[in-house]
Amino acid sequence: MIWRKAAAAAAIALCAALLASCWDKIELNELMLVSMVGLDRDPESGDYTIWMQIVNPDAGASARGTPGGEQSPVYTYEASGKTLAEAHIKFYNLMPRKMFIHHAKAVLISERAARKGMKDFINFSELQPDARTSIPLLIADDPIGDIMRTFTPLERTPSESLASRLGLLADYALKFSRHVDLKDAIERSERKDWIVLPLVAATPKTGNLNSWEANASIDASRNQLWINGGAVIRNYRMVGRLNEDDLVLYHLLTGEKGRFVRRVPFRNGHVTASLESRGAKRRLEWQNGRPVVRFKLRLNLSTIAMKEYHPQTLEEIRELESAVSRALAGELKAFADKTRAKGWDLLRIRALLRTKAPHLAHPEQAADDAKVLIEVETRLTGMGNLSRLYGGMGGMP
Amino acid sequence: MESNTHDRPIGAALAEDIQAMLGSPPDLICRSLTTEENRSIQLIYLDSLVNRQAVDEFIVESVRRNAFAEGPAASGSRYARELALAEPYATVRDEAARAAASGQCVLIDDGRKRVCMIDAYDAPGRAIEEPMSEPTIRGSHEGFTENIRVNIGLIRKRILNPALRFEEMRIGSRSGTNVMIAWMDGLAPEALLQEIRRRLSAIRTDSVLESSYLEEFIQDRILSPFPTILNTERPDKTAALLLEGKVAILTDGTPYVLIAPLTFFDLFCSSEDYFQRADIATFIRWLRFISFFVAVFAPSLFVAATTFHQELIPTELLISLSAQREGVPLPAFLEVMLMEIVFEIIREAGLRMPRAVGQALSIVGAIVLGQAAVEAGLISAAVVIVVAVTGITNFVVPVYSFGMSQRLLRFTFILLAGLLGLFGILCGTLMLIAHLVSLKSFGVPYMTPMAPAEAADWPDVLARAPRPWNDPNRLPASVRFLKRKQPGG
Repeated sequence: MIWRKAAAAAAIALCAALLASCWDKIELNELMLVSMVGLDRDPESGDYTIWMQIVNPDAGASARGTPGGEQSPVYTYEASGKTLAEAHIKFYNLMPRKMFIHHAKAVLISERAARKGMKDFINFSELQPDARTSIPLLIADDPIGDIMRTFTPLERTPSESLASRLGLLADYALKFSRHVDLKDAIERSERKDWIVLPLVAATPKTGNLNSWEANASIDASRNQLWINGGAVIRNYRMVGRLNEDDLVLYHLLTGEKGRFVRRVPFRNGHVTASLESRGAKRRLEWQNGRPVVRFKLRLNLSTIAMKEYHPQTLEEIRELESAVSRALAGELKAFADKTRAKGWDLLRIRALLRTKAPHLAHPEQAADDAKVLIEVETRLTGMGNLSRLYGGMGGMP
Repeated sequence: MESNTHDRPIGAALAEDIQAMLGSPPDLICRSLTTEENRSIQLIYLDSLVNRQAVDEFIVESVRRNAFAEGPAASGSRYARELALAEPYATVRDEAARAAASGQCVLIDDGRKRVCMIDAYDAPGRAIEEPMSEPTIRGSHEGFTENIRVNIGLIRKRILNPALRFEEMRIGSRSGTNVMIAWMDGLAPEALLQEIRRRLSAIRTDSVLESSYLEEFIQDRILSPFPTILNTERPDKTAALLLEGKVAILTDGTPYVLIAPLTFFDLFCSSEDYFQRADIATFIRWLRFISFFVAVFAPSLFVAATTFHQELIPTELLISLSAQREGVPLPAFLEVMLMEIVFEIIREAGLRMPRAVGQALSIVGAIVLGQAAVEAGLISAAVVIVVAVTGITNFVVPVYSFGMSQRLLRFTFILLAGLLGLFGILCGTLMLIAHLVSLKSFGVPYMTPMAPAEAADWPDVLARAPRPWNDPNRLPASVRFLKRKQPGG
């Protein structure tokens, strides 16, 4: 009986050996860990270029205590070809190890390629079994080759630095949402929706650009990467850009949550309001057969950054709240009108009509005709540490 | 030998024959005594096994004063038995020789035609010491000894109850080892007792020198890495388990007492759990559960993740591991396997070595493994950490034999991980679960109270429930299971 069982177990084990497993075995020191991928297409020649930024494991503190400070933390490889596959395979002319793309932290596409359309890149990427779509997709504002050859301080790799910055900008500046991954771009484009992706540029370069120099310099604002506004994408194609102010307004209207600071008119001057978005609700209404999209935004206000004025009474607080609400509503309405005038449906009115009124005869026309109403409700929730501002004459007005 | 009986008094002849049967050992004492009535009495005993003071003060004096009461032939307690010389000579001789060899005084009374065997056993042995394999911080520091009578006393002093029962058996055709079954009458299920008696009676062996001999014969499944009988050298633990209705088997010559039935979750319980506050004991018990998983799965998961599933490793960790592997000549699988084997060798050597050398060995082991191998680039630091953590977690389990099981399982899983990655580990885990749920200990499913589910017992298995919350009359699920099976249960 034991022998029968043993034979059965051996048979199962042999069958298991046929499965894709031990044939996939690969040691860590046979892999090149791809940290960031850059993609470009020359509009004239039509040639594709791929950049692969590879992590140099020896650059950090290694187990053997080898000081790796003099080595570059990442190596950038570049390969071109008539097709993406051709460029991809050319990497092995340069690379001694197998590319391992699972841990890539960012994908960059050049602006010129994005304006022509990113479908080729995304399809090629999605066809690879080891590609991940849960990584940020960024548009390169500068020549992508420069960006791919730029170091960033503190974080080990530029891609980690970018991914980390996007999160911080989403939480503390409301300039980006956390939904700027490759998969978000695919989902939005497939639904004919709009998406705003981060634009990345390189800051002015000075001195020697090797990693040691870059890491040794105190001026961390130079020779590094900069998040430089947003690229408006529709149907896998970049159609325009948003500046940093517009990015905040866009994310307020799309209901993103996060903090931001805004200078708003109050009484005869301005005050600096520290605000926190609590989300937005959209409601579709009809007025004489015309669609009306009502946005209702909720904001928390804090006087923590308000050096100009400090409310003392309930009436003053209500006055301040109303002023902030009014100012924001005005700015949001202006932004909505501006983008609609360009034909950008960043407010996703078409998507709302598709969902709420699926049987509309002319949805495109209805979306263009739709009236947008924006209401902002602001509540003071934070006062900072002072009960009243210090007086005196020193300081700027 | 029987020819001697024709021309000499039977007592002297018998004494000579017993002496010859025992091979005239140097510790054999043959004394001729004369009573007040001028009767000649032969006294034979092994000096190394008897209490000399008891022989001189009690037996010799009683004989001289003729104070030995005449009892019925072949009767008496275990303490003193008598045989009539009228019985077949060979029977009397063999019985007397066996009695002398087992530490009894053989008293041959020619006048009364009797052979009396008096228990004066007092073999040399160590004193009661702290258990080597199950020390505790709080609680009793007494451990069983190699003397079964001392061990019985250690149990009795904890359970002052007439319902505590002991039943003696002799096992081993040559060693004639004294084995005792201990249980609490009324608590231990009759079915369990019958089964233990049946299995012990069925043992056919020439010797039992340790309780593990018995364990191998009476365990439910031979081909299993898991123990189905608990062994302990703690009298307090034995007493506690007897009071839960379990049955103990004491073996003369070893401090390890066997206790049945055993379930998987009993292996995570230590005596100290019940000497600590409930919350602390619960925390420590969960540490043991975690340690079990680490001890069994950590190296295999490391091998699987680093050679098959690098995408599962967080990027920062992967870069760090990758840096460590630069220049290491061996594949991760061999690296881990080699280190585990070296670790096991060092551990085994540490057990056998004299204590003074053991310390030096551990230092050499630590330096060679932890530093030199890494610096030489033979082994990556991560592997040393994994092996060290695995080794340490292996010692967390309170039952030593279960720690051994974990070691076996660990090597199996490393092999599976090296061959098939996580798929291999998953297959192995499924087989392990199937094996565990199919195991039984004296009829009790090994995974009780999880499978079959006895939710009422979970608080005292997954945690250590405070005593006031427990029903003192409620027996554990394993014992209740057996009681339900017995007629009228």
